[in-house]
Amino acid sequence: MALSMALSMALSRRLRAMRAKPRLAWQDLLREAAAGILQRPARSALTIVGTVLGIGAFVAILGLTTTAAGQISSQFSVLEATQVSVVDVGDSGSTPSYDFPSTADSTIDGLRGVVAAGVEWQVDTGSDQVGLQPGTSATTGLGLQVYAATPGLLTAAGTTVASGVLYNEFHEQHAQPVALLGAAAAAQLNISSVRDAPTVFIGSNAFTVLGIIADSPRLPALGLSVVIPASIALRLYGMPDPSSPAAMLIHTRLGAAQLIASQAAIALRPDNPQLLEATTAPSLSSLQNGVSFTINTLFLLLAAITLAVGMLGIANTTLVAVLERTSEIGLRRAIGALPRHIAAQILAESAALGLIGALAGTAAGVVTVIAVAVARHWTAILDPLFVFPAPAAGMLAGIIAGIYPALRAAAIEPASALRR
Amino acid sequence: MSNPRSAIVELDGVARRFPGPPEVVAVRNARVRLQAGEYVALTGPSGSGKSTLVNIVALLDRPTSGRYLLNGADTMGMPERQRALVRGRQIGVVFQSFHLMAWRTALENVAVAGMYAGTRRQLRMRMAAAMLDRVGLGQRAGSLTATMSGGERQRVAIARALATQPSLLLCDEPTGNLDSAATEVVLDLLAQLNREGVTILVITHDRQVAARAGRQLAIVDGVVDGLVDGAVDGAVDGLVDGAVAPAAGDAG
Repeated sequence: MALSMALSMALSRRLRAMRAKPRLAWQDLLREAAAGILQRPARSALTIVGTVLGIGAFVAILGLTTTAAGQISSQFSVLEATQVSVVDVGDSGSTPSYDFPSTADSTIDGLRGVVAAGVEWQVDTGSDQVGLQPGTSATTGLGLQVYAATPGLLTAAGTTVASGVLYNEFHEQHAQPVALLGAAAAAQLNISSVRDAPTVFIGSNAFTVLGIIADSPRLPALGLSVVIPASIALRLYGMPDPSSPAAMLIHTRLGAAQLIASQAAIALRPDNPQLLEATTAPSLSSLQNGVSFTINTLFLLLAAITLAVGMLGIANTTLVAVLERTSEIGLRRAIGALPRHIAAQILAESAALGLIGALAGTAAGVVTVIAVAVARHWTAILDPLFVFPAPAAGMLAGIIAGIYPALRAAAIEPASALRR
Repeated sequence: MSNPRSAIVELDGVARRFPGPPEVVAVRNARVRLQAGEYVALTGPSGSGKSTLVNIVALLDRPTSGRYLLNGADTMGMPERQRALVRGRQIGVVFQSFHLMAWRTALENVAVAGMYAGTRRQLRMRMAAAMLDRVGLGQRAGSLTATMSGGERQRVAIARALATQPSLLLCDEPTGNLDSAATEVVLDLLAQLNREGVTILVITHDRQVAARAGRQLAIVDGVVDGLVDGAVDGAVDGLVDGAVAPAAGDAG
C-alpha cells in the first residue's frame, strides 16, 4: 500500500504538469476502436459483408472488363486491320459525283498487299421500287434497298452465294441487267432458288437474278438488298447522291492497311487525288476503350449500388452500436472526453469496418478475375490503378457511413446517459 | 494530499432550472462546503434534486445561477474544454450502475481513466494496477468485468474513479445495485479510503449508507442548507457545518 501511495503521488505530480488541454492519443483512439469492433465480432463480420461485395464487385468488374477488352482487341484486329475504305468525297458537297475510274478494281488490285478491291454505293432509284412485276411503285413495293457493286467488291467483301453464282467482270463491262439478292431480300420476294432464272423488276427494268447471297462479312448490308453491277446502275440511275457516296472497300493483307490507305487515292486518281478519301479501321486502343466503356458503365453502376448498400449496413450497425453504448459514451464524457473524441472513436470504428471489408473485397475481386481468366484461357489483366486504391475507397465509404452515427454519439448528453 | 483545511467543493446559492414547459426547478438553493479529507453524505428522497446536484458537482451540468468553486477555482466561467479536463483529472465519479465495459478486463476498465486528459497509456496501466491493488482486486486485474460480482464491479469502478488522483470522489448511490454483503464491503472500502485522505461525497437515499459518513446533509425540494429552509441569508461559514439531515428519514 505504501508503495502504491508513493507511486500515486509521483504520477499525480506528472499528471498535473502536463499541458492543460484534453486530448486523445491516436494509439488510444485505434485501440478503443478495435475494442469496439471486437466487442461484437459476429455482428462486425456481418456488417462488412456489404462492403466486401461492393468493393469485390468493383475490382472484379474493372478487372474482367480490362481482361475481356484485351481478348476482344485481338479478335477485332484480324478483320478490321485488313480493311481500307476509300470514300468518294467529290469536289462539291451537293451534286452527284462518281470519281472512281472504270478500271478502279484492277488498279487497286495491282498494288502490293491488296487481296481484293471494289466499289459500292446505295442506289437512289427514285420512285422505282423492287418488285416481281414491272412498274412497282413506292406504294406497292417492299422497300428493298438497291446496291451497286463492282465484281471486285463482292470478292473484297467476302460475299458468298447460297444458290447460283456471283456476277463477274463480263456483266460489269457490258452493263448486263443482272442482280444478286440478299438472303433477306430473296425471302421477302419469295425467291428460294435461281434454277429457273427468276426476274425482278426495279421500276420497269427487268433484272435476271443470278444468285442469292449467303453471307457478306465485310459488308453485311448486302444481305438485305438487291445488288446490281455498278455499270448498269450508273447507266440507269446516274451518279450516286452525296448522301450515300460511292466507296471502295479494299481487303488488304495483314499489316498493309495503313500503307494502302496512303496510296489508294493517288493510284486511283493521280490527276485529282483529293476527290477520294481513304480511312483505315479505328485504332486498336480506341476500340478497346469503347468496349470497356459500355460494359463498365453498366456494371460499375451495379457495383456502386452494392457498395452503397454496404455503406448503409455500416451506418445502421454503427448507429445501433452507438445507441447500445450510450452509457459507455456517457462514462467517457464523464471522465473527460470531448464530443469530438467520441465522434473520432465512432468514425475510427466505421472506417476500420470499411477498410477490413474492402481488403477482403479486393482479395475476392482479384481471385474472381484470375479464376474467370483461367477458366476461359484468357490472360488476366489487373490494373494496379483499380486494385490498390480499392481498400482506401472502402475506408472512405466507412468514414462516410460513420458520419451520422458519430454525430449522434457526440451529441449524447453524459448526464442523462449515466442515469441508466 | 491537499491541505486539509482548504475547501474542495463550495456551492453558493446554486440553482438549476430546466426551461419547460413546464419549467422545473430541480435545485433551488444549494449551499454546500466540503473540506479536504471530509466524508459527507447528501441524502434526499426521489425527485428531491439529488441527481441534478450530482451532475453539477461532477461538472456534467451547469447551474443556471449561483457559484461553484472546485479547489478554489470558479467553474462557472470555464469553457467546455477546460471543464472536460477538470472532469478527467480532479473528479472521480462512482455510479449506481457501475458503467463498466463488460467485455474488457478490470485493468482495461480502470486504465480508461486519464485517457482523455493526455496521460500516456503506460502510466495509466501502472496506475490502474496500483488502484486495483488498493481496492483489493489486484488478483482479478485480468478478469472480464462481465464475470465479476456486483460488489467486485463497484470496486473496479471505484478504482477507476481514483486512478487519476482526483481531489473529490463523488459517489452517486454507490450501493443501489448491491446486496447487503456487497454494500458492507463497498462502505468499508469508502471508509478506509477516507481514512487514507480521500475526500468523499456520497449521494444516497439509504440511511445505512449515509450513517457511515462523517457528516450528513439533506436535500429537500431542491434546497440543501444545513440551517433548514429560509435561512439563505446566513453567513457562508455557517451554512452546512455540523448540520444533521432532517430529511434523511424520508428516504424511499
